[in-house]
Amino acid sequence: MISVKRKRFILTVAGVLLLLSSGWGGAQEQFPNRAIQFVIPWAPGGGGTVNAQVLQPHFEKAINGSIQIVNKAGGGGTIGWNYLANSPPDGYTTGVVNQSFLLTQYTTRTGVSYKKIDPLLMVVDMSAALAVKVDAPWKSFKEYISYAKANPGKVQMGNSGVGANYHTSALGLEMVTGVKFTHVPFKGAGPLVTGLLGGHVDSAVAELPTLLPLVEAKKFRLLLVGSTERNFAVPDVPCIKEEGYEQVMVGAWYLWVVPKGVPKDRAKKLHDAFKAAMESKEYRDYYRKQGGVVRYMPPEELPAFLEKEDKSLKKIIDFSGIKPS
Amino acid sequence: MDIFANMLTGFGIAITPLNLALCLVGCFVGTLIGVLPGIGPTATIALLLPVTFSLPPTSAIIMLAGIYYGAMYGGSTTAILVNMPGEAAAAITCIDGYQMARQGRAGPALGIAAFGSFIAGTVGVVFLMLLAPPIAELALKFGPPEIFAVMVLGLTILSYLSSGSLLKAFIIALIGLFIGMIGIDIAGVERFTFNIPDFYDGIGLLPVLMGLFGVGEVLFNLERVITRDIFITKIRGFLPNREDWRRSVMPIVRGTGIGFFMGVIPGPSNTLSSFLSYAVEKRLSDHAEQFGTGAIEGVAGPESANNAACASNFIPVLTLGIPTSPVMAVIVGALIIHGVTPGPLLIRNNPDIFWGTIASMYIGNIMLLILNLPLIGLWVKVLKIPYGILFPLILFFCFIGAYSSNNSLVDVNVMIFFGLLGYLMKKTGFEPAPLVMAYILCPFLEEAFRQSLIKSHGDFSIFFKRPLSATILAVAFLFVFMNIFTGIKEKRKRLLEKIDED
Repeated sequence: MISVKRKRFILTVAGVLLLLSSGWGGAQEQFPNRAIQFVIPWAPGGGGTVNAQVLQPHFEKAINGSIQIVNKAGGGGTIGWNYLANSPPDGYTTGVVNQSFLLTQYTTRTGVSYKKIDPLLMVVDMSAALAVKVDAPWKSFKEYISYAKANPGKVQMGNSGVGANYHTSALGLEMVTGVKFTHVPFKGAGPLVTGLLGGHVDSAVAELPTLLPLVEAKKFRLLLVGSTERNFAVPDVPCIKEEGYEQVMVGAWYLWVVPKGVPKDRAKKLHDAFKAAMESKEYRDYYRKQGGVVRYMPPEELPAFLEKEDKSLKKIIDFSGIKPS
Repeated sequence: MDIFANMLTGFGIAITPLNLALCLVGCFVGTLIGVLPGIGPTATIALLLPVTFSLPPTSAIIMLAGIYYGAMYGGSTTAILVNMPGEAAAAITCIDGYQMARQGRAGPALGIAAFGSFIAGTVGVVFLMLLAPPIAELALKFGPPEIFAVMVLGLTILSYLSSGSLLKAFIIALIGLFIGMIGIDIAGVERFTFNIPDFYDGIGLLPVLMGLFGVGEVLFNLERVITRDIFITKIRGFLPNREDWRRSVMPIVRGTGIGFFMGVIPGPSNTLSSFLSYAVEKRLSDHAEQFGTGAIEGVAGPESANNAACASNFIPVLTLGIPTSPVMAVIVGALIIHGVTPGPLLIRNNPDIFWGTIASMYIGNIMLLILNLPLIGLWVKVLKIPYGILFPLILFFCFIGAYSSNNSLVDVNVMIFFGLLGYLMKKTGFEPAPLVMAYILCPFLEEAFRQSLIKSHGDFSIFFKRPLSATILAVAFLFVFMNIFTGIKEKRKRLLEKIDED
């Protein structure tokens, strides 16, 4: 026999479970009526998580709901992106992608095709930059390249992992300038910057926000920013276009995306909330300090943008022969 | 003196009611998550970061830093009580701490861990204050060849991590090295990943630890219900006695030194420092045979080392803006969100943050001691919980911890696998510590080795041409040589005795 007390307990538990279970509301439910997941495919502390955290309060206010930041790290981002692309397209799962998203299509076997997601908007665009130590002999990009040309394999170029973002940037430089570096891989941007600071590599490509504090402290000198125009934070550093080369150094842009097939009205609601959040003063102030260009790009322009970026990455990949092993 | 003026300003900031309260909250939360296995400081700080948005940056960092060193404090508790390390650095504490608990001496073990942590933490902060800029410069000298040399030194202490068969220790260490190889290497080649994307970045540390220690221990104990009596035999004393203190003073002092200097070196410094401290104590001890059976030095040294390392972990972050560990990456992220640029200019541009945080760390260490000592009585009672309740609880926390570290079921499966492995190892007399050590060192060892050779275009002399790496390697060889020598000497002594007897 089940005692009364026991029965009451079971009923309570059942009740709570019923309350917790979701998705039994009517068809005309309000969106959002539960927390929206922000999927970050990297460990906490990186640029993607920080982007989400700065957006969070303003996004929540704009959409009148709450969000939950979910870090799903691993597989070079592909675990998080697979999770994202395979989530139900109900608008409750959105996530961030950057150029690694395109890159992992070619460098891993688990990469997700960019055609499997719907982009919402671009929220920031950060340049890649080429840095050397402040006491390095090269004062300009031209000097650096002509030295590297004259001494193939002599210049050590640090990267944050073979096949990772800035490795392809360095390969891109090799492709367009015809030089040959000795590539020294590090595990992540932190060890890379330490390596350059300690003089254990001659130069490194990394994203501007990582390098900026050390440039300001007069430890690093920037020879080049990888964008098509100069960056407002370092106005005296030439951009790659001025040096006469095509843009082969991919920066770090962040796009927020949803799995394919999210209803139009929900996608629009998410987009509008993101847009409102990126227009907030805090968000702009944050990236002004970081040297990140707060650049909005609407969903209509993004497929073409992704296709163009994908093409130029593919060219570098083909040039270098990187493939999943 | 500049430093004193700065320190006074720092204390002025740290002692405001808001900052004091936040420091206490941080320490309390830190202790809590340190005790709960699997819920690490990285995840907690990331989770609580948005809460700090409305706070001034200094207050936010004071609280988040409190969580970090609070967790280091609490990490030893479960290691001692139920043989489950809250974080990797506490894996070594399991060896003697847990044995002490089995002998009814959980109180002194927890006590010496708390006092050692307090002393090392405080001294570490003093060093941090006085030596941060020069130490940061020194740390930069550690390029790939030097890091490789440090890791080799780390491997040479393997033989001290085992109280049983040396051969078995080396076999299990090789398995550890193998596990450390799983994943994508620095040249982008997949190894032993079996196409499971979760393995690309290597096998997660937390699931391995919780499996080998926590789950393995539970499974092993299920067989031996009768031995239960040993556990509930009288719990003798809650605090370390005079003899305990006499034996622990030098280990704490040495542990603090080792921890502080190791903490600056890029790599798994917390873990390496506590393992190194254990090896040093065992080497210097005149009763090395007690190690592994509940020697208090084996708790005092490593616990001090990892807390001192914790203080010096802040050096690269505060002076250069470079995180040396995942936790520090999150703290750097927090600084950035609060509009503070971590970097070489931090001390000049935001002196209030630098000195305020350091001052709060003094206060925090005292708070932690006051917070933790009365708790010892409570923790010891955990041992009185009947196994029927305690074991499911341990498993429960293991599963939650394994899942929540990366929201992945693969990690749970990894933990179960290592649980079974841990069980089999226990049954066959293999100890987990050498495995953990080798597994943690392996990626760094290999990375540094290959980076060095890429730099030198395949020339091995790079390791011996650089004074720093050559010195460290020489120390490592000396260590090995001394081991062989003492081994031979002992064998000869035994032989001679045998001849005498004849």
